[in-house]
This record gives sequence, structure tokens and C-alpha cells, in this order.
Amino acid sequence: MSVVLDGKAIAITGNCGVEEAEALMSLLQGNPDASVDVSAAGSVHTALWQVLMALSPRVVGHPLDPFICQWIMPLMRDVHDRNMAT
Amino acid sequence: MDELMAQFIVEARDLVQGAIDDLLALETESLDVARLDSAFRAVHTLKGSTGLFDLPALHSALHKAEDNLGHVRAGTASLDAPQIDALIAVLEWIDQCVDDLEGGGVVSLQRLERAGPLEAALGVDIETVADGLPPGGAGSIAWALALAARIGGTATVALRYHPHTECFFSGDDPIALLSRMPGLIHLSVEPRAPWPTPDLFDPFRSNLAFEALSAAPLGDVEAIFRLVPDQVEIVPLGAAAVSPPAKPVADDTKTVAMRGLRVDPARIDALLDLVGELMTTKNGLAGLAAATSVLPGGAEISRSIAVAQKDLDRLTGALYGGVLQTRMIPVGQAFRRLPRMVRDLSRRLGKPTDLVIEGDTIEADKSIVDELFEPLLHLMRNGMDHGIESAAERFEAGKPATAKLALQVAREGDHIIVSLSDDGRGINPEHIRAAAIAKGLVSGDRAAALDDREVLDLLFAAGFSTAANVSDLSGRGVGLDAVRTEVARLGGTVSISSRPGLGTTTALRLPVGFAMTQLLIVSVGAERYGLPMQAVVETVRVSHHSVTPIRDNRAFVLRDGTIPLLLLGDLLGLPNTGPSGEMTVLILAIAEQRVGIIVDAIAERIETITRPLGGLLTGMPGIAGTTVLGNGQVLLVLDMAELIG
Repeated sequence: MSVVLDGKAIAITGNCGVEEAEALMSLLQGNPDASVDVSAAGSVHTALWQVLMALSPRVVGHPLDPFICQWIMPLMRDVHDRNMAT
Repeated sequence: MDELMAQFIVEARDLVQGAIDDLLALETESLDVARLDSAFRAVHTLKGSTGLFDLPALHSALHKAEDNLGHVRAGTASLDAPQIDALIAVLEWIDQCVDDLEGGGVVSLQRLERAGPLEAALGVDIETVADGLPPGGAGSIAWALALAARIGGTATVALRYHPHTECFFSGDDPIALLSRMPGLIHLSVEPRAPWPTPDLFDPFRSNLAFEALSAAPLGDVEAIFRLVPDQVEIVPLGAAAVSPPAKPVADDTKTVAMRGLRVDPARIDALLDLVGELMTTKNGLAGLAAATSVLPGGAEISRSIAVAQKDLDRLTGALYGGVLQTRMIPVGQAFRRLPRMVRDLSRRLGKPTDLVIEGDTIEADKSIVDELFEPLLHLMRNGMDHGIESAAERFEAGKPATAKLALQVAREGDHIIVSLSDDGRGINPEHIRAAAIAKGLVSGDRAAALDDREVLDLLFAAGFSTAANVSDLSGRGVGLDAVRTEVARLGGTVSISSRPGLGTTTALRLPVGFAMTQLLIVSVGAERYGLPMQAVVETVRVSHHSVTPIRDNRAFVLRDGTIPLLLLGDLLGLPNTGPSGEMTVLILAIAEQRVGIIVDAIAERIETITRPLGGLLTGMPGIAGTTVLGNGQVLLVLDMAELIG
């Protein structure tokens, strides 16, 4: 539904279509230290996940979608950890 | 010969055979990806193995073959009939080279000279034509195998998904697609190109490359990605994981060797002989128990011996079964070269023929299976040469243009029946009669007196050949008599039946192996014979008053049915004692019919190994084999079906 900056964290909530990728990107570019909270995320388009991979912020929360929880979240953590290590 | 070469020879034959089987299958099922992969892997492994030895000609030809198959897999070349022929020709040539290597350690010069033309037949170098294909791109499955090897587990399908850069614009959502993938056991993602600096990054262009493994059936995975076929590579893993071509060759050989243990059959035979002797010794304990029981105070010892014998009985039985199991192989191993023979012959003769094989997983002793190929090959040639009509003749007869050869195997007790049927013109008994008289095999009177079945049997007489013109196939002076001799040597029989206009069936009846049989020892006069217990349904006492003569035969009523009675002495050609008083009758079930066999007495039951007849006794009708009794006496074991039939 939306990508909003809430204090120190960016929250992705509800279902997000491809068009919201740009909003997510500019929020992350403006707040490079912000973490991204996906605990209220619904169905999120690949383009947004790609933004998270490219910019590798810290991604937190356990989304409801079991596929995202099991397969995508580990990828996000991987990317983030690798980014921190370099 | 060094060990490595010996192993190469064994494996090369398997690989050649496997690849040819795959190619033949691909000829009919052109889209069978698994077959294509399997052929590719076999050729690849072969190529790698030849690299271990000084065999540059083989290596080069295989390299070419591998390239061609690689292009087919990549979709940049097609696999048409001439290409399959060329590939098979190379593989058969490799097979012959391996024969040379086994025989003399080197490939003969004449053989090596054929490498050039064979390689040329594989066609122009497609690689130059298909220039521009990304290296290690579509054709290679190395990534899939590496992925499977890294993750392990039970993956059946590997997937590589590179969404188009513009895919977001066309409404694709790759992760949503992946989330529908069944049986997912691994998913990873990498950027296709390194991420650009944030200011240059376009969030609406995909830069993702996914790799996944699934345990779901190939078809289910393919179904999910059917709308993006150009963006995915789906590789069925199956056997692929066993011999990954990406690994160094030496590892390949190791992997193959680890799958099973190759044992010299002579060692197993030595074990089998020992088990046989152990059984003979064990059977001797019965006599010992009987002898002790009559000694003063011997009853106790006798009982102990009997108990020990029981235990030994069980253990030797299990041991014997175990040893025999190691010798059992599927009969299909003898058939492996037949499909390409049929294919080859059907082309040369211009008679399109399908070979259908059934029951090839039925197992029989290696000694039987190993010897099965030659007689079958001969029968097959005969069938295709003489039995199956030309396409024109078939058309005239209203038959399908493609003839059918059916090779069926069935298990019947201790025997296997291997039958080869064609749907050809059948055999006209009159022709056989006339030919047999013309060749002086039988006199005119004698021939007229034979019934049709006996006439067909004349086909097995030495030197019989009915084909008007001798072809290069089956009319090579080796007749069906050679088949009969060969089969008899294996302790089997061969029979032929035919329906004119409809086809001919030749059936080989062969023992499954050295049979460990429960034998009933019966006596007729002074003679003792072993009868397999398996055929015996029950034993009854019959008064000779209740026997009804029916012409030359006898029968009696047992409960609800009339059962024909035969005298074992008569069947064996022994002096006739004639039934009198109370008779001991064994009721046998043969070919689903009950028959009563009159014997003088039933002595005992033993369990033993029946050896096929050898030497002078070979082919003696009605005798299944011999066995040695505890006291060293040799006992003839009867084959009741043959004796009565």
C-alpha cells in the first residue's frame, strides 16, 4: 500500500506495486542509515526487493507471507551483511 | 593390462550402449530432454576417459560428437536422422576400438583410419556457425550440476532465471513467479551486472539473476515458467548428479566404480561350489541321525544331530540364496543391442519394423543371460528376413506398413520363457514339407504323416534353410538348428508356432539358473529319481480298482475332477511293471493342468542344488539336471513338464 518514513525506519506496508520502487529508492537515498521494516508488508513487487538488494539497508521484521519469510528475507540479510563486511 | 585400462574397457562399453540407447530413443521422441542430457553426459564421460590414454583419434571424434550434442541441447542445432546415424556410427566405432583394446591393447590401424570419415560425417563445425553464443551460456548445464552439488539434498530440477531487463514494464513480477515454484529447496539471487552507484540505478530495470533448486517434477516447474521460456533454463537433475561432467575425469571414473562392486564371476562360482558341497555334507547328517538312533542310548544324540541339521539347513539355504542373488541379472542386458540391430536391419531390408520389449526386468542367472544374445539375434534376423513381408506385400495383405516384432519374457516357475513374435507372413507347413523332402531330410511318406507342429519342428533340423535366395542376413548356412543346440546347451528348449498370414512365434524355455530345489526322491523299480517339489500338489494312494482305462490311457477320479494317470516307468522307458493293488500317485500341476504320476515309492525329501546337465548328458530330454546325494550318489532330476509334454 505504501512506503513511508517513520522516524528512523522506512516501513513497507500492505501490497506494493512496481511503481512504488522509485519512492522506496528516494527514501533510502535520503536516509542511508534508515532500516526498512517489512513486518506489515503484503505482496511486494520484485522491483522493491531489488532496490533493497542494490542499496542493502538493514531489513527488519517478519512479513506474513511465508515465502518471503523463508526465502527472500535471508537474501536481504545476506546482501546487508555482505555490504557491511566490505 | 593395467587396471585403469581394464576399468575403462568395461565402462566404455556401458557408456557407448547407454548413449546409443538414448539416441535411438531420441529418434522417436525427439524432445526428450533427459535422454539428450544422458547421451551428452555419456559422450562427455567417454571423451574424458579416452583422454587418460594415448587415444587421440578417439578423443577427437568424441569431442566432435559432444560438441554436436551440446549444440542440440543449446537449441542451436537439430538432431535429425542423418545426424543420429553419424553419432551412432562414431559410438559403434568406439565400441570396436574398445574390442581392439581388450584384445591386443592397441587399436588396429585400419580401425584408426576410419576416424576421419566418421568425424567428417558429423558435419561442419557448428561452433563457427553459431558464433556469438555466450560461453557457458545455454548449452552448458555445469552451473546446474555445481549448484546441485553445492546444495545437495533431493533436488530434481535446477532452475536459472534471468528476468529480462525490461520485464517490469511488461508486468512481470519475478519473485511472485518464484513463490509459486513447487518443492523449492534452494533460492539465491545475484545481480547480473554489479550494482551501479545509487544515482545511476534504475529501479524499473531488472538486474537480477536467480538460481533455484526444486524437488518437484520437471513438468510442474516448467509449467510455472511457461510464459517466460526465453528467460529460464530448467535442467532435470536425475542421474546428472551422479557423474557431473564439470568434475575432472578421474573423478568420473571413481563415481561410476563406487556405485557397484564388480566381482569376477569365477569367484562367485567358487563360492557356489563351496555352498553346494556344504549342502551335500549337511544332507549327510540325516543319515548320521538315522544311524545313531538305532545305537544303544543313541536316541538323544540322534535328536541333537537332527536339530543341528535343521539349523544348518536354514543357514545353508540362506547362504545359497544370497550367493545366487549375486549372479542374477535382468534378462534385458542380453537385449541391449537388439534395438539397434532391428533398426539397422529394417533399413537394409526396407522393412520398417518396431521392436517391442516386455518383461526385460525379469532376472535370470548371468550364465543364462550372457548366452541369450546370440540365439535371439539369429531368431530376430530370421524373423525380419523371412517372416516379415515387404511393405508392398503387407499393404496387399491389409497389414500396417510398419511390422511389429515383440520380444516378451515371462517367468514360469524355475524357467523363463523368452518369446519372439513377428506379425509377418507366417510359415506355410506345405512349403516346409516340400523343402524337407527335396533336401532328403524326410521321405515323402514320412512327411505326409507328420502333423503341422512336427513339420515346423523340421525347421530345426541341421542344414535346413527354406529361403529361396540366400540373403546376407540369416541365410549364412547357420540354421535354426544352431539355435536349438545353443539353447539345449543352456538346459532349455525351443519351440516354434505359426499362423499362416498372421505371424510366427519362437519361444525359448530356459532355466532361471542353478536351481536350489526341494526334491522329492521317488523310486521306480531299482532306480531313484528326484522330482522338483514345486510341481507336486499332493500325494495320494489310489487303489487300482478305481482307475478307469480310457483307450490306451488311464484316469481316476480325485474329489471333483478326473485326473489322467501316467506311469513314471513308462515315461522313462523303463520295463513296465504295471499298476497293481494300492498305488502311490503324485498329483502334479503342469501348465495349469493336473496329472497323476504313478511311482513305486516315495523315499525322502531333500533340498539341493540342481546342476544343469553337462557333457554327454547335454540335451537329454526330460532331465533337468543332476544332484549329488549325501552318500555321494548321483541323482537324476526330472523335468516333468518336458517328460509329459
